[in-house]
Amino acid sequence: MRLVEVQDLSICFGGLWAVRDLALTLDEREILGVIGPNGAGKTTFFNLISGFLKPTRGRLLFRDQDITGLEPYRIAKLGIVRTFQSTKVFPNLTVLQGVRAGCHQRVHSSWKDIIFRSRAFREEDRRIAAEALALLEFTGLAARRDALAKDLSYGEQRLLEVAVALGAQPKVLLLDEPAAGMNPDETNRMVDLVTRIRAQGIAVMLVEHNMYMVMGISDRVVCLNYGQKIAEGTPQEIRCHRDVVDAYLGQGAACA
Amino acid sequence: MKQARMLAIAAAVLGLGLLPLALTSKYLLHLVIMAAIFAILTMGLNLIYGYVGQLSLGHTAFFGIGAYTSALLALRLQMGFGWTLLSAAIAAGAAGIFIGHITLRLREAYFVIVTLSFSEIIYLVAVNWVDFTGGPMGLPDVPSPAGRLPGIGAWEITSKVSYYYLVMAVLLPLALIVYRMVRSPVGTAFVALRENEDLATSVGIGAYRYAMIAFVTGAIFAGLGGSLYAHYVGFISPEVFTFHYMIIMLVMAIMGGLGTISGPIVGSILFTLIPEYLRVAEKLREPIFGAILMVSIIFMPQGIVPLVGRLWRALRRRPLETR
Repeated sequence: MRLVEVQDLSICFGGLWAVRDLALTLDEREILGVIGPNGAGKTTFFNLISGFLKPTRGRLLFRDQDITGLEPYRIAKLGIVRTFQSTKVFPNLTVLQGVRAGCHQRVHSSWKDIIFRSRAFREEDRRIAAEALALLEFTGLAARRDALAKDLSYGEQRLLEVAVALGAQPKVLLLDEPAAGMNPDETNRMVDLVTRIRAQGIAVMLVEHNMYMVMGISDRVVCLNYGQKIAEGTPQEIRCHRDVVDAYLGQGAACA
Repeated sequence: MKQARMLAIAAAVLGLGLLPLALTSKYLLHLVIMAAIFAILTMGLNLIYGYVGQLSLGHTAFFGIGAYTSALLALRLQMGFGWTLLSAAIAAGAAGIFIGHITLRLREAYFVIVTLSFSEIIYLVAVNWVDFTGGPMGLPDVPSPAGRLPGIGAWEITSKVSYYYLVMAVLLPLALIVYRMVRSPVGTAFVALRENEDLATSVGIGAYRYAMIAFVTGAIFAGLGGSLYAHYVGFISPEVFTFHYMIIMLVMAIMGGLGTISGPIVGSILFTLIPEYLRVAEKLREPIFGAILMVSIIFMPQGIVPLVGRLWRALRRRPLETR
């Protein structure tokens, strides 16, 4: 089933089209890789889908609902949740507190429940604490639950970002270079994590320069250059696509 | 564990209840009342500054609006205390919504400047609208809290001891509200916004909404504090809107410990008492106070409460507590 549909999406920064006439779709349970040289508009595209930027023209549909121009937190509430290229965590919160903040949308207590500490509130509080812990297990951070986010290693912070995003119960998870700067071991953990996220029924859009990761786990890959889509297809097709090789992968790339 | 906690709470309430009996000097009791009023103001400021992380210099405006609303209603319309207190809270809250709506889309320096301008504007209104506010001469003879209750009849609070209980009857429920608000997903959302607004937004926390909740709650607290202040001191002038009070509240909030529940209360007590005890030094009073501030900011920038907390945990060698 179609989850996200992007129609003629464009944004212009003072005469420069950072993204231009971009059209693509994302199906349920799909992993879509988005590749392209630096400056191709990948992160801008993520900023557009997540509402951090408003498109100059074009439309964004989520489950056939028009979400163009919605506030970022509303888009997150609908189920499109992103991570950031530059690692973002809540530095002075513990790992567990940070994931609980990520679980914000799971809270349904009213202000009365909160002020009077009703039974419903206490039950919900316990339930969310348990769910946050389960997310830490899922991302492999359970042992670090009481550490401050700023004290984590870089690799752990990137895992924490994913855990916080999962707290928001996404239907679509946008990962912006999750494996950037990671060693092969950490990359493998991230690959495994993304695979398990998809197994939970969450669709993933993945911006990544690590071809081993993108080509390894994506169902489909889209390649951007100068804000425009130059190719789309299976990892195998993309690897051998002439324009992609010219613009990004380079002649030396293996095309089997 | 739960019983120990109940016992501690009971002991604290009993201690607060018996405090006026222990304080033999009227002057000391006066200081405690002032500290409690400042604690109410500072708790409110702490919500938006300490938790959400936006420095509002408009807090004096809400304090002054509360004080003037109460004083004017009591003087002009002879309203009872219950109504003036409630009206002060509503007026300050409404002003909070209005100003919040304008300023909370701004961040950092811009937010600071606009909130500061707001209290300056209110100050100018209070000074220049002489017919309504009494101008620079202020409003003398604000009556002490009085009213009429069905079944009890007319009542009036005249002694310092009964005013102490009145202020406590406002302060303690507000402290409980802050405690429960902060230790709930609402408090987590506040802190998440302070720590990283983009990240908080990306998981569905509406920055405007939560900043507004903290800002308006803080404004209502300030309005209540202003009302208690006006009826207690019995005289208000446009001075209540000045930056002087803002500085006092900031010092109390920062030195007590921003973003902690007890910090504003501890800060209010200390920074009401310290300047008074420095009176012995007469001319050196202000410089000594300044020196204390500088030294404290250098050696405990996070304030007293977090420092004590760290020492306590270090002594007991317990890991950092999570919520």
